[in-house]
Amino acid sequence: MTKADQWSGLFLLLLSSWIIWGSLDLPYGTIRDPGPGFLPRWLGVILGGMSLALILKSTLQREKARMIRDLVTAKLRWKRIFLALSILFLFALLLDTLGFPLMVLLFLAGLFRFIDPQPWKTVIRWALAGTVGFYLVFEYWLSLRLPKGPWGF
Amino acid sequence: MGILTMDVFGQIYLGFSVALQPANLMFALLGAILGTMVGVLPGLGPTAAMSLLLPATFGISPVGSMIMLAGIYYGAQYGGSTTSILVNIPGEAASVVTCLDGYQMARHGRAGAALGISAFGSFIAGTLALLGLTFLAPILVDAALTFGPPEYFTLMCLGIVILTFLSHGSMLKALIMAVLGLWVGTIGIDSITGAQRYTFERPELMEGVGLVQIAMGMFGIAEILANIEGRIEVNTLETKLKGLFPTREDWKKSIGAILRGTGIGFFLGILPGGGAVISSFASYAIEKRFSKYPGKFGTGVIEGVAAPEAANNAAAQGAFIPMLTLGIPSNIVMALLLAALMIHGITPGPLLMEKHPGLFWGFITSMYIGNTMLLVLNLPLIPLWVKFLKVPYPILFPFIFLFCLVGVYTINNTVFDIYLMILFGIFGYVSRKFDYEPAPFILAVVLGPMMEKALRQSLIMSKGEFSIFLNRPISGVILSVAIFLLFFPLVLQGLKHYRKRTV
Repeated sequence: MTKADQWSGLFLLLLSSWIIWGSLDLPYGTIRDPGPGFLPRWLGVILGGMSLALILKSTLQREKARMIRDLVTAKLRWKRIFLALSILFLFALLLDTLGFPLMVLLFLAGLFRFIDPQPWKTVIRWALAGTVGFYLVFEYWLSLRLPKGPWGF
Repeated sequence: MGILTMDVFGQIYLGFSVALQPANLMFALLGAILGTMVGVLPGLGPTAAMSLLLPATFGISPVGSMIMLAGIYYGAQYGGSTTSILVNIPGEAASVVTCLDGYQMARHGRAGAALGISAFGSFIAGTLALLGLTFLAPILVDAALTFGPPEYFTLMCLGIVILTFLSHGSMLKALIMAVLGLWVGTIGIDSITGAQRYTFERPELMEGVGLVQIAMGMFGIAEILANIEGRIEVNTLETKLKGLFPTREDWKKSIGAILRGTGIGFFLGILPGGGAVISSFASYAIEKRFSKYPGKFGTGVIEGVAAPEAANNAAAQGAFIPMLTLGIPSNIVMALLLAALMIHGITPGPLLMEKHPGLFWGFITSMYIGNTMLLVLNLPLIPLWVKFLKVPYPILFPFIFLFCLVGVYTINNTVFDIYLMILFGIFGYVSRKFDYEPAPFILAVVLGPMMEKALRQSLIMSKGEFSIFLNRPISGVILSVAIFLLFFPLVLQGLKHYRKRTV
């Protein structure tokens, strides 16, 4: 199990088993009148077959294949991806509590400062300008309903 | 035929009378400008921009919203090529090929000619393809009226097979993505029996996983994640943009390429599953194969810019045909337009032309106007777009993230959709790492629910006989083509293997 395709194949195989298992709760119907479980079950079976084929193919493959090791240790900036995703999740988590304007300000400042660090002056200037801009466009111009914080905006 | 042509001209007249209303002209202009802008910005494509503006179209007329959203679509094709040529970064996927020769032309001081031919080529292709659309649509509508569930089912199968057949990487992986997409399409309440499928009892999932959430995640979020992982260096060439009008020599070289690109693009655009991205690659490959100097491709050959640019614009127009006549969206952009129509309670399909002629023809003719606007606007505005690109990426990407977040939140005003989008963003990012393409997945999600309905109806019609798909002439032919394409690579591989052994 050193090749990337073997791992993705295994994941897909597990997923397909879960899809089939989930479809067992649904009425299958008959071939003359297929029920809601008909298509999901067959999709699960087909997906399972294809993931097995993928695992088999990559196991038998002699020529150079992509290794899982290369994928994980390649010169990626994992820290950036992880940070960016955390900031995105925090946005979703705190949006309703903090309200739109404050959340946007923090979100922009966080991304400017931590992903590809900018000087604080740039961070503050762009975060403020962005917040005001977004607030004007979405709240006033498009008049969308955006969550308000405990302080009324 | 004579009556048909007369009829078409009458309809075009009707169309122009709708499209030339001041409000609709404004929507066309707005769409074209917004589209060019998102086309220029890397990481924000027409899909994300259209998803973002979809909720805002509640308030405007159905024609207006269609005109604006379509403007974004073809405007982005123009904008994408600008960045490909000037900075070697394709603003969106259909312009990837344009980088090859366009950027090289710019490096040799011919940025003006490259931008010029791409704009004129796009305009010519867009206009010719629109003429095709205008005359083909009524004929196809007649044919479509005879289609039943088996024809619809096999046609959608063909669409998915074509897309996987034309994908760059492994066909097996593309098919896996398509099956996964079909499964995601089954999530939610079953439209026939009302049973809940894979909803975890979450009310947000009852109506299925939203297309916009998936598209913004897989194209918006995943794209930015891939970008910030490396460092994007934007080096705008400091060349003066002189001579935007191609010379006589340039025209001589490119006119054939433009016409061929238009043909290829239009044809691939009509096929469900085809589209702008594939057609730009295909037309470049064909130009190279039939060129007198294939070795020079990639060093700044003007045909290498003209052909794919013409093809992606022609495909963008051609793709409207299955959506308007059959109600089958052949790509994600068409699915979003379909959604825009549904918001206003209009169901696209063979009856659209008959029931809403003003909308149908107004929309089509607005694209003539939009194309002209783009030609006039785009060339003088290029310096402005270049300024846009000078905003450093570390400043730009948080804004693109924010657009996605706000856009997805405003669909249903729920944070759940944001989580869903981030989840699909991670899925898109990881699947790219493992060389799985997002396009078959998305198309399958779009077509999934329609396909399932058509499959179940067909089986009820035939009392469980699968032969219904082969016995009916049209669906039989379509299915045979799909099966052929599906197994063709396997046969080819087997032959190669056999030859190796015998040699």
